[in-house]
Amino acid sequence: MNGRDRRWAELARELEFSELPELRQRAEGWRAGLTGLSTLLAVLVVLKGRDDLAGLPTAARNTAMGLIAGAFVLLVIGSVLATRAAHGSPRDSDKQMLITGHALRQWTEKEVKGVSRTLRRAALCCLLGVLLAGGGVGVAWSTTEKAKDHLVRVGTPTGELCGELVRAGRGGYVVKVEEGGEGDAPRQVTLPARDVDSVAPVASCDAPG
Amino acid sequence: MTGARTVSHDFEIVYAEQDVDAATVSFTGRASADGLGVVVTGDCPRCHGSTASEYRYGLPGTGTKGLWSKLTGTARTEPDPGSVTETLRQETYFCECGHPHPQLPGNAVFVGCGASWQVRSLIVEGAP
Ligand SMILES: [Zn+2]
Ligand SMILES: [Zn+2]
Repeated sequence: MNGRDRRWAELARELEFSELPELRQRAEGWRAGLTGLSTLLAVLVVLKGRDDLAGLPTAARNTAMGLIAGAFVLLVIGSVLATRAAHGSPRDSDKQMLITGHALRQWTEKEVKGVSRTLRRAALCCLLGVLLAGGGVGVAWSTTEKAKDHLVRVGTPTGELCGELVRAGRGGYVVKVEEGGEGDAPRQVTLPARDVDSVAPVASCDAPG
Repeated sequence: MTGARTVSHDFEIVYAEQDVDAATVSFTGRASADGLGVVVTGDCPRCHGSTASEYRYGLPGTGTKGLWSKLTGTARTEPDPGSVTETLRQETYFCECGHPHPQLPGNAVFVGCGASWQVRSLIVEGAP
């Protein structure tokens, strides 16, 4: 035990000479952690800014946004925990103690336990966060309606009709028309050929032409 | 009893890292000159040289000054004298008589005869 006690006492004695580098390292650690958080935030803002989510049905959009928001919260918590584990909590810096070899040894043993616990929690948060983010992206991806091709504006004596051209032939034109409500299923309209005055391809049915 | 030396410092005793009994020696802890630590003084039970071990207040994770306290200007909480006495009683002490005894290793942190001991009698000034 003598040799080990001696080593701890030596460490305690040398601690005061490592003051400045330790301080800088800790500050550096927090800086890096916060930079990581900012990056995360930026990514979220970019994701939110995209119109992708707007094209989803309401329920799917809410689910996807909920999952991504949950993922973000978990990742933020995970980052803070990981930074704490790596560099200590800034709050601890108020707790002064008399640094003897014995005290340093006890502190270190306690710290090792605390750091392992914090790291486990950080890892769990990051894992769950990634799963949630993946789930959110998955929901968004699987429910995003593919961009409609073959959109046509059909002129008839009674008015105009805009929608996806399903087929055209002797039987007339079959056009799939989106109704106003987001959740509503598209309606297929069959127009006899004699009722069709004009057919023009369009990029979108949104703007009335 | 108050530090009156009965045996003179044995400069010839060879450096050896060994535990010795300090039952007959009384040690005193007092604030260091700059007030940032405690110095424990007494006579080494092995070489009988006068030894002084200094311990500083600090934060093991950060060195001896708190980053947070520096940033926020909050006062550092100094440990109470009772816990300081308790900490000092639990410590293992090493001879720091300052005399390089024969065969002292070149990288030795504690310059002395190499002896280590637990204090039996310790008075910390300013503590209850
Ligand atoms: Zn000695
Ligand atoms: Zn000596």
